[in-house]
Amino acid sequence: MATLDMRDERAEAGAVASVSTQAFDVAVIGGGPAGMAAALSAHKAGARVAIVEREQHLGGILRQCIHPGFGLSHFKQELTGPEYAQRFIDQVRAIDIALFLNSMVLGIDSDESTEDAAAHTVTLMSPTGMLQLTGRAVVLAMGCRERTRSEIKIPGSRPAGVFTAGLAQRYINIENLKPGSRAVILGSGDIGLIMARRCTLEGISVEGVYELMPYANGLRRNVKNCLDDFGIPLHLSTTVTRVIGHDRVEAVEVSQVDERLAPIPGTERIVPCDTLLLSVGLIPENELSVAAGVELDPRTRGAVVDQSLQTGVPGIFACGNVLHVHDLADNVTTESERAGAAAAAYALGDGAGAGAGSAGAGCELTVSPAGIAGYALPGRITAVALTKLNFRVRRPVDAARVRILAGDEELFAGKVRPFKPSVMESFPLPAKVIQRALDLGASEIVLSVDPIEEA
Amino acid sequence: MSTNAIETLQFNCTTCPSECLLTVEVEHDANGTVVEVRSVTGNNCPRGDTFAHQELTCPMRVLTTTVAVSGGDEALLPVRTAEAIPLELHAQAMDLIRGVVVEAPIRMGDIVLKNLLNTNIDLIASMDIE
Repeated sequence: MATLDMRDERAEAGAVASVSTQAFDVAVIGGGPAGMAAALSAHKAGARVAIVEREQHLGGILRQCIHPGFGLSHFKQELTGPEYAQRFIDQVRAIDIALFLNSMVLGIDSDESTEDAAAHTVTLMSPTGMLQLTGRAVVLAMGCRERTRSEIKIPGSRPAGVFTAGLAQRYINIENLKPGSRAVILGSGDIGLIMARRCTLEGISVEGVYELMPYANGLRRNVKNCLDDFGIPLHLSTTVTRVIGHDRVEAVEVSQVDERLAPIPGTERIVPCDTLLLSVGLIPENELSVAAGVELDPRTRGAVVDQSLQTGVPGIFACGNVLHVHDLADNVTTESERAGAAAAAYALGDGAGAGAGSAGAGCELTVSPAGIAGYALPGRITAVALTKLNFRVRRPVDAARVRILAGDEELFAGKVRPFKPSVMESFPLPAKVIQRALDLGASEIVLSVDPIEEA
Repeated sequence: MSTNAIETLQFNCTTCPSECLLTVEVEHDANGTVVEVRSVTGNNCPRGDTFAHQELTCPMRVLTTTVAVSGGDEALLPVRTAEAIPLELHAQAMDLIRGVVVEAPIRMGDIVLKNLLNTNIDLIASMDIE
């Protein structure tokens, strides 16, 4: 870790022109699991690396995810979120990676005309003032945010006591605050399930978990260990249709929904509670990315990237939950190591066009989802090489198969198996399939997940 | 023997992310106590079989919570049981842990409570706090 004395007399004078500047090869924005893994792999590849983190500590959201279930694939043992984070914090602090903590990135400026030297400038506000980091590569690792009440438009009054589940998790696990005494949880995503258990253990009674869809959205292990273990009911095809209370939540009205997810009149039920926790989805946090000119995929709400996780802006890479929402931190780590290595290769490459994108001259394919695949990532393939495709299905099916198509041609068909929306899937696309698509003159590869009719 | 009932249960194995759906045939006596786990199917590895037997006799879970910190740069220290302990002890363990205050600095793995409720399992720190 580098201790940085950012006191700069010119900066104190307040002139933008005199903001102090530090040069790196790779600037990583975000010090959570994605940012730390990207920084470590970029450093390993020989790059000079900086991490900018908004909070006082590294670790990101893992610091409040005190439950076990992390590390099973990366460390081959079950760790809690803080333990998983601490292992990376220890590695980052053991090597020469510059840390800018308590620091907020204000913007990323890209100078495409510059041939060598710095292509990107990251402007940040640190406790000692404004600072600029320059680097040929930037890794976006800002994570995601929770969807709020206003995004799902629950009618009713607007009393205190309505929280996103992750905020309540922060109150309970980090700030030592009790959000309420009697909670209803809307949404069976993993955070909602984890919070049902956490509230119960801390003496906050959980009246039930309500889920709009006809199936649980979280991992099976969380339904079992967080609800079944404590006898907390899970009400499927049911949602909160009204918040009741003046100063504080006094109750919520819940209703069953039909196949089109519309509330069924006459099924309303009043559930007394003082707290409503929302676990209704996550959205990649891409304000900075968009301002930097990065194109987003409306399906993932993360950047459109190529196989090296490079965005449409040369030298800007993205990984972790800012790219697409993951369900396992281990997958974030694996993806971010790839992004960090690619960013270092780009930054250290000689001259323009080196590093990522140049491998397959003439290879320019877009990747689109079809069938029940909600998205496919990367959205662009620019090299003929084994490519990891990620996707997520929109609804659970017992039997479906992955098919890779180019035009009318089926290039690959996977084996029939079940798929669940709660699981981010990974599919290795062989180089020969990509070459075949190019040979056919295709400009697009389609990843289709097609349900198989019951025999 | 005639009073014993055979029941078929389905639950997911939580040993690894594969989350195999196990189908378990279990024999209860008249009091509902498990006499024998007759068969386990649906598991893709031997750990599923072990898990099913454990789950029907004495379910074990890692307990995670927080304890108050004095003199640190965080208010709370995340803690865990070093290994899984019986699920039925979790409420009692929470009552005990609730009153604990630890002094910073703390290192991940430091013992917060030794031999929690005579389980021979320690409660340990999940993170460093300066």
